[in-house]
This record gives sequence, structure tokens and C-alpha cells, in this order.
Amino acid sequence: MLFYKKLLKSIPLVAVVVFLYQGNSQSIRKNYQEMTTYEKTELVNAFYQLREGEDRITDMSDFHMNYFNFDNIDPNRLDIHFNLPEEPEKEIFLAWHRRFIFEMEQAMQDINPKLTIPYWESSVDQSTTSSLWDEDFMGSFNSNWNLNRNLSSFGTLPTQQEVDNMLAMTDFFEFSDFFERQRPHSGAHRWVAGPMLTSASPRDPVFYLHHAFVDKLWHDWEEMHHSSSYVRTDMIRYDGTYVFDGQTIPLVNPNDIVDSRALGVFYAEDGLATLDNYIVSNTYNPEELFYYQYTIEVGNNFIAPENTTSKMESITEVVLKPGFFAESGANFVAAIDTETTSLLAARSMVKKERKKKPFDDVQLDQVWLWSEGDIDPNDPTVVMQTFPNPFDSKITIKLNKKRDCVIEIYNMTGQLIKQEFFEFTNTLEINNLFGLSSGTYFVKVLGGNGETLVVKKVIKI
Amino acid sequence: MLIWYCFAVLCFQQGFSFKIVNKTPYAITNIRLYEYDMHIALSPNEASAVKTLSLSPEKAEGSSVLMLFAENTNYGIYIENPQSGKKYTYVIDSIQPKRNNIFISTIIEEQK
Repeated sequence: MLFYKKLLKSIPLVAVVVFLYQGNSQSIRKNYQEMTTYEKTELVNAFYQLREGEDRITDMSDFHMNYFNFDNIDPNRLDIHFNLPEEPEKEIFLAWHRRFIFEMEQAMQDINPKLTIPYWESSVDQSTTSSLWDEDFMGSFNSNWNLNRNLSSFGTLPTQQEVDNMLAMTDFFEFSDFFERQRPHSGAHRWVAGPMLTSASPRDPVFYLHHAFVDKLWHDWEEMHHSSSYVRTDMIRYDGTYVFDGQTIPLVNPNDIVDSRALGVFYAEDGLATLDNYIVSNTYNPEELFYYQYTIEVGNNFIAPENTTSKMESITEVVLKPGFFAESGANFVAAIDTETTSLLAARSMVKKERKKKPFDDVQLDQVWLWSEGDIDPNDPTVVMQTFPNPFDSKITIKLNKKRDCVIEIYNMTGQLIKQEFFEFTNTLEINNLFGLSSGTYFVKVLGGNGETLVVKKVIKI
Repeated sequence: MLIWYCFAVLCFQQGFSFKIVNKTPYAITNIRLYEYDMHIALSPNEASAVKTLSLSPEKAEGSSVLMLFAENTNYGIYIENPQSGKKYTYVIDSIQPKRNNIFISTIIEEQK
């Protein structure tokens, strides 16, 4: 009960559906089989809509095509495919496609903020009569857009064993090279045929579902190995020269997006979306909306800072776990999508059952709430002053009583940048911060027993 | 098992041969196949010489892409993975520059 009292005092938690009429969202990507009927219909409609007017579909396809293997024309040019193993300095395959499908997802979310690009798990879902190809899903595009797909006539899809073996590879470039060239990536292109066989493959909407799966596998690999690293620091197309619909697309460093969280992207699987190590920033969207019909678990350094807007919306449950922080002044909402729930009930659709019920393994008083500059209710003597702020090369933190503690510095994607330990002191100096990029960071002070004392936002100049 | 593996590898190392035929009305340049720069340009209705290659199965799987340049557009298309002892004729049947479409067909024969 204490938790709920704290929660209600600190956060505007709303348990009703709030319709969004504008703005975009971040994303929980899910297997297309875990989409609601509403999501599927909206996704199909969005693809059709994006083909109209400025025609984002053809634009994306043309770009993919023009830069498919551009150094075939001019060896000095950059391109997006077949650079490894000989030219690691040109390699951008996984990062480029991550950014590419993110851009398409953004365009979709301009149409409907609840939309995300789902993934097609081609190592498992291999039937030509799978619901993926239903006429009311990806099937209709075949005739309406003259795709001339020829499912299963040309090449085979990867086995689960192949994917597992690939995920066990430890060298990033070896992993990326194998991934791009072998069946985990190329298999679906061949198996679907039609435009998917060619460098104009993004003309087929299933390209995006396939590459969402490719991106998920990279995400899974990175979660295991934490060693994705590019030689290049800028990517073609996002080099500041490309203009679409009057907007210049800014430069992107592929190393900035090796963690999908940098784009606010999380992958759900088997009825569970785990959102962790992330700080809501509203960088891309005025409201970050995380939508999933099954369980959303939020915790482990998921932070909603002051003056940010975010929303978790599920049809079944949203679970706030230890490590979830919402600063007072953050506009954070956890909600049940009652409209879709009632539709599900009306249609007698079966909800996915999970073995554990919400809060089965969560001690509610472990869910941390924090507020910049606020006094820790469990230890009112701990007040943190951070100076200078903005800082350049050094931060000094003053606590008003001596104690053992650990200082951790996180970037805006929730990545731990630096960690230092201090014994029985009230003055903590963190030096040698020259190497940090300019921007916003979070300094977290933990007590001797690992408990979070306070978190503070600092700016590097 | 090992004997069968060695036999398969030896068979594969016999190699396969291929040629490219341009049936389109456009000149085609920058032809790259199995990652090899062919160093040729094909005029309309022209065919390349036959070339023989020997690739490991993994290399074949990972490089079976035909790339070419025509009408100011860079085309790429996955092709069938080659098998040892076969002769492949890749016919570029049609290129539609306005729609960025490319259509090819493959004739597979036993190598003599």
C-alpha cells in the first residue's frame, strides 16, 4: 500500500484509455502473429497510404536500390551490401537497415501512433499458407502492387539451428558477414521472390517484416555479446544531403544505434515485452507510446524523467518492476486499452495466458521512484549537489553525510558509461570525463548495499 | 560420413560454368557475378564468353547475386545457388528503367 501511496503522490498514473490524436510513438515490435486484428488492419492500410502522394514506398525502394552495391560502379563510393570481409571500413549492413526500417516505422506512426513494424520469424514460420500471406494481410499486395511473388519456388528459409549457430558467433564482422550473405538474411529474399529477389526489395511490404526479424536477431546477438562496433562513423543516405519531402535527413553514426534502445525500439516475444535500460527522451516523438496486447514489463533502469511524456498501453497487463523510475513532473501513463479489450471480448478472442501473474515476483516496495533534487524518503539526510552542471571534464558530488557509495553515469539510452566506488566520504569527484560526447547524462548514486539513493540529470558541454 | 563429405567437396570443386546473355535493348556494364568483376560490357543481344568457377558451398550461397548497370541504374538480383558440374546461362530478359524492374531467366544444363 505504501508503494501505491507513493506512486499516486508522485506520478499522474491514469488507468483509463486516453486517445492520442497527434504525435508519434516509440515501439514494441512483435511477431506479426501477436498483433491484434486492429493492428494488422491498420498496418496494411498504412502501407497503402504510404504508397500514395509522396510515395514513401517507392522512395525507400529506390534508395535501397541505388546504394545496394554502389561500389560496383565506383569503388570509392559507399554502399549498403557486400562489403565484408574485404572492406570492413565500408560495412554498415545491419545499422543501415536498422535505421531504414525505423524511418519507415516513423512514417507509419505519423499515420497511427500505435503502429510498429512486426517481424516475420522466417526460421520457424515457413508455410506458404501461413497467415502472413492471408489476403487481408501481406497477401493483398501481391496482386494490387503486381509483385509476382513466387513463394517457396526459389531457395529455402533458414533453420532454427542455423540461426542459433549464427547467434553464437562472437566476432561482430564475422557475424554480420555471415548474416548478410547466408540464409538468415538472404533466404527470405530468395524464398519470397518477386521484387524481394532484387535490389528493389523494399517495394514488397514483407521486406519490412523480414528486416524487422533481421534487426531482432541483431538485437538478440548484441544483448548476448555486447560487441557490435563499426569502423565507419557516418552512414550513406543519412549524410546530411538526402532530402525527402522537403526535410533533410541528418547524419547518423552507425555506432550510435548498435543498441536498438537508441531508437526506442524493443522486441516482444511469446507474450512478453521487457522494457529496460532506457530513458524516455522524446527525441523522436512528443509522446513515447509503447503498445502491446500482451504483458509489458517495465523495470531495470527504465527512467521517465521530468518533463517527458510516455505511455505504456496493453490489453492485458502492464507490470512495473524494480528499477523503474518515474520522476515527479514526468507525464507517465500506464493504461489498459479498454476499447480493444472490449472488442476482443465481443469477438470472443482468446487472450494469451502467461504462467506468472502480474506482481507474482515483484516486491512492490522495491519499485523505485525518483525525483531530481528530491529527498530520498527512506533517507532524508541524503541530498546530492552536483557541480559544475553543465560539466566539462569533472563532476563533483556532495552528499551531506559520509557513506560508502557507488556513482554510475548513464547516457540517454540507459547505457552505463562509467562506474566508480567510494569509501566513507561525502565528496565524490569523477574525473577524466573529457571523452564523453556533449549531451545529457544521468548520475546515479547507490548506497553501500546497492540501493539507489538519488539520480540526477547532468549536461556535458 | 567423412568419405561422403570428401566426395561431396571433391565433386563441388570440379566447378561449374556460366555465361550471361543480354536480351534487352540496353547496353549493360559493370557486370559482377559471384562477386567477380566480369570486366565486360554487353551490348543488346550480346552474350559473354563462358567462364568456369569453383566455389565452396558457403561462398556460392553468399555470393549468388548478379549486379549490373544499365540506363543509369544499378541493378542487383539474387540468382540460384550454383551446383558443381552444371552450366548456367543467365539471360537478362528485360529491364524496365522507369519501374526499376529487372527480369532474368536461368537455363541450367549438364556440363559436358
